[in-house]
Amino acid sequence: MSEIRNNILNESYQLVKTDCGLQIGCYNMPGYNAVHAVFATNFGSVDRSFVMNGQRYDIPAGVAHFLEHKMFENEDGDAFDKYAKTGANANAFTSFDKTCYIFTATDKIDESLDILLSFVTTPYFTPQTVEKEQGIIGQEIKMYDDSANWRLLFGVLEGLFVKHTVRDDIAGTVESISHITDKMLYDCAKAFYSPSQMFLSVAGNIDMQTVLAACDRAGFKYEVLEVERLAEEEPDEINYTEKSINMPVSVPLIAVGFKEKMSNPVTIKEELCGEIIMDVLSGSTSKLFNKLYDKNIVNGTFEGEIFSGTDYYATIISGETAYPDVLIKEIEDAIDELKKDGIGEDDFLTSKNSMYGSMIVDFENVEEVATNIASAHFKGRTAYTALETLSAISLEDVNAQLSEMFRKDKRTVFTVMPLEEKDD
Amino acid sequence: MKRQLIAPKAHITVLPNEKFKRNRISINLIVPNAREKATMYALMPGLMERAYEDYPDMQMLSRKLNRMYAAQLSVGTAVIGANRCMRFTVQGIKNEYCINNEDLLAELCDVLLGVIFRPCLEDGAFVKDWLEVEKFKLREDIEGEINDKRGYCVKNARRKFFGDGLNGVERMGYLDEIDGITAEMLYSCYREMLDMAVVEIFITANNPDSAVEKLTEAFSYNRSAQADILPVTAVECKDVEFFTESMDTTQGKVCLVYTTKRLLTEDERYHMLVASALYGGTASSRLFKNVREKQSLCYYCAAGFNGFTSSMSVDSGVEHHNTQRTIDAVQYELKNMIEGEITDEEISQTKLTIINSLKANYDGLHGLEAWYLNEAIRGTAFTPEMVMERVENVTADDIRNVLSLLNLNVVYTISK
Repeated sequence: MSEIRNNILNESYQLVKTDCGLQIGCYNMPGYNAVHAVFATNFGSVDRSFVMNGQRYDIPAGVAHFLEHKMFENEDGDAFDKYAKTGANANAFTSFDKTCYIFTATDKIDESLDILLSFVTTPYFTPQTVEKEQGIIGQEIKMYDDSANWRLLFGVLEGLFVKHTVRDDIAGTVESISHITDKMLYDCAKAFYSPSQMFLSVAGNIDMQTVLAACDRAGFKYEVLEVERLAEEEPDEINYTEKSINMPVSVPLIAVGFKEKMSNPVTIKEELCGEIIMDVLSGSTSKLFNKLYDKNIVNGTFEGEIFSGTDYYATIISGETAYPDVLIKEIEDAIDELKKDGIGEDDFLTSKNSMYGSMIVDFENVEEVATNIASAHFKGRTAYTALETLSAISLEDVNAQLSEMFRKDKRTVFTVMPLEEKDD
Repeated sequence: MKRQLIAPKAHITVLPNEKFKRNRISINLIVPNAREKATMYALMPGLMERAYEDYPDMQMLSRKLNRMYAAQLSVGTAVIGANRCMRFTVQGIKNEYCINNEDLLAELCDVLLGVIFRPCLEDGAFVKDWLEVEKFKLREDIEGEINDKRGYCVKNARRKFFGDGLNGVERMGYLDEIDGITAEMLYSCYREMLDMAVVEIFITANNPDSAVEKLTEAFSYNRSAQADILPVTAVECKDVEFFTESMDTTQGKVCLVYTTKRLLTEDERYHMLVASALYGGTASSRLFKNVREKQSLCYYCAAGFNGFTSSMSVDSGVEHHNTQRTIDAVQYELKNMIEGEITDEEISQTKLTIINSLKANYDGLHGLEAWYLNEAIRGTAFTPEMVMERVENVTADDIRNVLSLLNLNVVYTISK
């Protein structure tokens, strides 16, 4: 067992690797009633090809998310029905790079842990249950199809990435999930859901002994499994420079994205420097935002963010605007000015102070703490890595990174325009 | 929890804060809803949270808050039953986490009081140019509600349900009134609200004494405090009305709104808490299990009861051709609960879920604040534990009886 400590917070948590290969992080939070548990595998929507024990598997878009839905159903019933007996509030989510099964509970923690560890590691699929789920997930996909913000995000990602699977919707498409079979789900569960592939993170009113006892009761065995993820090499080029779609929205939505060249894997320093740059460029204190807001070119939806994972990194500035062309020009000018002048000391310190405060707050609620431990683990970091790295970042680091970013030929613009009015 | 009267119709409630990383202060001004002031109330938040005398433009105040370690200032407005609440909130990390030993709680307090009592003025009114900007944003917000199809369907269903009643006054105001509002009218409306409102202040902080003193002093002046909180009223039962809106969406939406045949008694409120959760409020509810899981009719189908308007809404996203089937299924499940069997297991499971969420009020920075604000508006002072005890005593008959008080007034659908 290792103790991970942070002196700013004056707190620590424990990490354990059990005999079956399962790794556990436990963050005891005195004074809290609830426990939040995250049982996670780093199998997400970007994972579409892998080799297991010498055999190659290629899967359609949406399998990780589909699997997440189907894991809740076991031969002896539905996991939600089992959780209902403990009162736990349970759910799951799939992101680009991981799938997490979660619950929050204040009582019957042992029982809820037993349910979690059991159903996530006991796959049960039949052609009939797969077919039924295709209907439910089909509805979920259609719900997102009607979301202008969702379409905007995937529009800009499709523009930036040529081959990388991050450009595909997490849930896939109605067409892609129609190819999913029970066998395919069993193969993926075998590859990514064995205890040695997973991470269990808990936070709140709980200690490591309670978690270890639950793992003992689960009776996990160590399984020797060789799994290698395959990914097509992503070129530096982008897919398209601009694209527009029409939807029933009141004002246009626009996203300006840049494909950035960073290390592989992307480092925490690159992420933090990027966040400072985006804050200074387009955050609430930026000249750009304040000018555009008061000119009624943007509203509170305007934001700049970095979008990154292990092997992808993009910067995206987006928002609603009645004047897409003006906004694009203003963003271009602001980037040119920032790159020419560099970020100043005062802006840098303001942004760094703000990030420091936000990072402290990350340790305030049980859900966020448990989730952050799991996310950090899959990136080879601890929950404190970002906080520790931030203090070491200098203005020179940030300006050096800025000089390499926002390449004009690596830019895409995606717009969601209102439906054209029809003449009667 | 310690609640004290600091001035006529002004209370301050101090909530414990040993475990959170942040401190938080909120000041709530509560007045009866008024249709003719709704648009002005909707314009105030944007104007007031952008600046005040000490930091007289948006960029300066944002910079100040970021320097205060990402302190968050927000001004919001809510319609709670027949009342309007203007909420001023500030939160930031505790002093012990500040890098330069700042007294951040004192600074948070100063910012909040500055925003409320010393807004930026021009010729004795709000700043005209800023008002024009906020008018534009409000117009965009109102017109933009169509972007969220689920919320849009629910809002339109509730509009039909409440009609012109006080419970149905629009939180965001009315599009056709925006142009006519002047900076003078708006400032006068704000002064009146500050003067008349019932004031509920909450402070969730460690070492709160000096902040309590400052807040108490700020409200110890001669306010008229004429406003009273309006009690819960229910919409009258009617024959069900069906409304269909045509829209080019991939997925259709359905919303059903029910009223209660009379106001619920104190006990019945807790019966309804369990009943609505069992019907459609959890992942093991009848709607989730039967309409979503067994019949695969939709991705979501959820019910929620609003105690301040004594109404329940059920909403769902469906294939266009399944709209009527879903409406029938939602009604069938309710009828089946009233007339059919409700097992002890279902009830005990639902109670467990509710008790879990009641306990979770203690685990969020604003959990207890939201709880006690609702209690204050309702005129009660229950603790989460007291509600847990009442929830434990709810029976199957209680559930059937309280559900039988529901009457379907409105069905609103969006389809191709």
